[in-house]
Amino acid sequence: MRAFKYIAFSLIALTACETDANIDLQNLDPLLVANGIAKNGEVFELELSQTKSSNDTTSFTFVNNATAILMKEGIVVDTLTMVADSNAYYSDFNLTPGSYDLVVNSPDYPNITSSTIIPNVINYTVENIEYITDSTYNEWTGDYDYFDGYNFDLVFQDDASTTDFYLFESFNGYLETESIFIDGGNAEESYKGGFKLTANDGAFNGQNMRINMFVESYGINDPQLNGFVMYRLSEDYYKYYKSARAHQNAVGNPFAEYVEVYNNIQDGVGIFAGMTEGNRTN
Amino acid sequence: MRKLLILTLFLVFKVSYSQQKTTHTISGYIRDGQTGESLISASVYDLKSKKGTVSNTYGFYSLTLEEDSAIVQFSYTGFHTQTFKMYVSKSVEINIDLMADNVLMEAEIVVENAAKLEESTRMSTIDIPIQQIKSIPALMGEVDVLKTMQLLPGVQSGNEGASGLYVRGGSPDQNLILLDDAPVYNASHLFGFFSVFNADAINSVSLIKGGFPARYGGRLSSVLDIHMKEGNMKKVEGEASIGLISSKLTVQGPIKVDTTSFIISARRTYVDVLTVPFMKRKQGRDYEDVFRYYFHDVNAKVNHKFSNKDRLFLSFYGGLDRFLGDSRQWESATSEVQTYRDKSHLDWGNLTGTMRWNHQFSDKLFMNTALIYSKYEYDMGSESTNYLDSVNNQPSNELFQYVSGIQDYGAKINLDYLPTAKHYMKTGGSVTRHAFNSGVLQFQNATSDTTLGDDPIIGWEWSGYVEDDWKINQRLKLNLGVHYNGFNVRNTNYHSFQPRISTRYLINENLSMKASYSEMQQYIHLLTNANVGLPTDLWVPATDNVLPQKSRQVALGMAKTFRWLNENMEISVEGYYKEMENLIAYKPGASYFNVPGENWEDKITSGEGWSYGGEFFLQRKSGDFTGWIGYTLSWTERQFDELNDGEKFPYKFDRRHDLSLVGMYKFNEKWDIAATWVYGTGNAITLPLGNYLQAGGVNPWGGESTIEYYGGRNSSRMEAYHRFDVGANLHKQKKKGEAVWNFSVYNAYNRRNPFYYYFDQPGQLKKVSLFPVLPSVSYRFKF
Repeated sequence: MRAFKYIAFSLIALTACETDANIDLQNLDPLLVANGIAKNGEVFELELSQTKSSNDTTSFTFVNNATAILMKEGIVVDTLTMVADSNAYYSDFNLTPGSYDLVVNSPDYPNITSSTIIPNVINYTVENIEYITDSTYNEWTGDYDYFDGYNFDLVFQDDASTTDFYLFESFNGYLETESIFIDGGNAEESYKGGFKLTANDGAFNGQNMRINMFVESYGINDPQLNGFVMYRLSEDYYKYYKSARAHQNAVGNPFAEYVEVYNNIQDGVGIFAGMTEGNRTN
Repeated sequence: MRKLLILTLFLVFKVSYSQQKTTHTISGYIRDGQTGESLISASVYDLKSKKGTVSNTYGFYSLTLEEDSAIVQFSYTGFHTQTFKMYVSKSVEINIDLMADNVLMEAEIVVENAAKLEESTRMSTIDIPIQQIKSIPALMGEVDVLKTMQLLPGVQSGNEGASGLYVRGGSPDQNLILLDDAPVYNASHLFGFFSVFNADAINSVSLIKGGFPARYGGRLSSVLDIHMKEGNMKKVEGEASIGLISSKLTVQGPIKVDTTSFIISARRTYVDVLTVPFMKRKQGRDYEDVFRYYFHDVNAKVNHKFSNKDRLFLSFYGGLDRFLGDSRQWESATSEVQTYRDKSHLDWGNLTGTMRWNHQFSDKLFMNTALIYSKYEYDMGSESTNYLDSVNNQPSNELFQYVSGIQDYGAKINLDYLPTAKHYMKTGGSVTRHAFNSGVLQFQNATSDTTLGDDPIIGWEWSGYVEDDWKINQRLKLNLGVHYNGFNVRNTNYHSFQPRISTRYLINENLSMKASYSEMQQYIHLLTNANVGLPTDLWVPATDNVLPQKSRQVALGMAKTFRWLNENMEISVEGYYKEMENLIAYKPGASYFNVPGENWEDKITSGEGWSYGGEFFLQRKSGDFTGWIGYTLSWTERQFDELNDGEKFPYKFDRRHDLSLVGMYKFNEKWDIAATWVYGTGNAITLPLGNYLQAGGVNPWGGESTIEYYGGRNSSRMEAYHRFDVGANLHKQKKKGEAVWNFSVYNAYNRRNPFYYYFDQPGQLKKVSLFPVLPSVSYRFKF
């Protein structure tokens, strides 16, 4: 970090001036933005809005005059209903695993289409749950750090015939397991207050998996609050999730490459993706 | 294609030795008569038979002529030509001391009898005399070899002020920068604003952009071959200069006249000395923050002549950039009792050493061997002392240090063999042990001592080559060769045979067509933020996961010499096409900074690159008015499967137009001026064209998030870059030498060139510029 401080100091010291830029940025005609995550057993919600140019300081505009059609296996199953208060379109079609298409016609934009799948449910179990309290000596502070949490094994069988994508979610705590090499590298991605961990099966296709995790629970010894759920994701959701997270980390960081977020909306931008929630465990 | 070229090469050697007549060889060394310095690429030419050659890096030449009368002319730019009439009846050794033409100013060059541009098979190669480099106005008066190179066609600068070289669409790591045969890995001071090369210690600079002779290898895009001065063999002399930010001193002379000489040159900046008093603790403050920055470098060389056939050179370069921080805290604004102190440093620098031995086996065979050491190291650390927190009755202390870099040990041998006037053959080989340190972090306090990071990766690189400059007839000349290199790392071996060919066809006495083809392979990569030449840039090897970089380049050109206003002019026009494979780049979102324990191989992705374009170069080398016009029209693209949806995109430094105008004019013996104007299309950058809402549930922290919409990688352009610099030299003859006052103005019309852009707030794109108009003055004294 000190290196960055020096570098920043030097560059600022050398900086002669800051002025308004005189660049002709490519004009961005407003594009229709569609965001809809289709999850098994839940009401499908589609939000339609429009992009705005970088030099536009107004709020985002929602699109309320479109017609959105949901299809399953190529057959129309519902026309979504616009609810003005929430700026969203809804479908009460019972979402189950399968392939889905979305078609949106809007008078002000080109029609957009998108496709995704809701994958089959993943069966998994959480075994050997153990609540642990302990302490470790902190070399930096010279004191003992106390911690508590749940140690458990996540057990599931990966499908060898498909490329699968998963999301593991805890609603509380911090994933303390140092290395879970399940996503082409160390896939740990945790934060206090819960964690989400994505994985593709590239490294374990067709295997019977047993992953040990320890989730620090910060004194909350309540199984209800320390629940855990595993999802199977469509590839679209996985790519969107990974790229959006990387995008957030890169924006504003002058030493990071920019990240273009995954987009599967034809003639527009956004995401139409499916996911299947497994049984929640406590 | 490759097999055909290699086959052709062997046929050349076989066919060319038939039909030999009685011949004798004239050989020897060509040196500066005043200093004893070797003259590189001096011309030796028999006016009668129209056969000629040039001296090598050590001044050695060899010309084999048929038994007959001859008129042999020895010439070198800026020196009086010497001509000998002789009857070649036996082999003779003739050592030539050419005398500089003192009537000419330093920057002027006489080319009347020098090797003509259109004569050589070399193309895409430019030699700039060091005197000319010194005359060009520079940022803050600091003469800079690399910045002068940026004024040449096909060579681009990166950002404002940076001294990195982007040659024909290549990246900076694809430039082989050699200082007396030793590779220099980080050629920048102060994040690239100045180069490490002290012009006072440099003898010659040669830049090769394409048509690489087989003796060079290991990099894709260019070779910048820099030779240090050898030291005056005749008398002690020196040069000192004082500028706004640095001072320099160079001393050279004989240890034993005509046998052993030395040169030592040192430079140091002193901004830190001037600024530190302003940072000292002031009355009413309980703290002090002192930051210092300086860089220094030292060049030294000793050369000893054992005999006319044996010579030893020892070269050394050491350079260091250093940031020092010292933060202190006292109990109160009036107290002298210290409570806390944090001393920190950020150092980076190169260290190179070369020991070379020249041996002349015969009048046709010359050998140079070299032992080479090169090291680049980046070292960051701090020591914090808390006087209020004692451990074992001592103030608690914490040490932190991070070190990364690369270290080479190498050996090479080169043989020059000139069997006839039609052939100039070179062969040789080298072996280098690289140690890549990708970062070691150490933390130490009273209770722990922790070290993180991997052991250095060891890579062995070896190479061999053979080439022949073959004059088939008066019109057609070929340079054929093959370069082989290999690399071993982590039990993985790579090998590559790289054919090289360049040819010249003389259309008439002053006009020639040239063409070249070369393949290159490179086993090291630079993980870098290409925006700024940061010292944290990391050299890494090709591994079993990261393949070596490769390139193929073809060039076609024309060279012509003509007279204009009674002076010689040179013009060259070249077109080139280059393909590159296995280039590396950071994956989307990857951080540029390497953290020990992180595997850098996981953060990168590999792809391809293309660069093509045309270059125009018009140069006037003699007369009161000298200078050049360089123009490049080019396209450079990249394609990575994991970037930009796999679509091709413009390289960051894809620059459609790049124009340099350089002029120097001598008014009289006292005054001369120089000016440059550069123009370049703005760099390609990625800026958000717009933004849109992110789908709910993806942001783990909750809340509404937006996504920036880019419309493609590098789809926007910075504003065009242009700048005018002007400088003047006032020469004054003193009793014991010459004094020169240099006045220069960088960015004379105060153009606000872009350094980077950012959105200050929605809708407000800001441009940050670095250097406004910067006048400077320096004083130089030669004694």
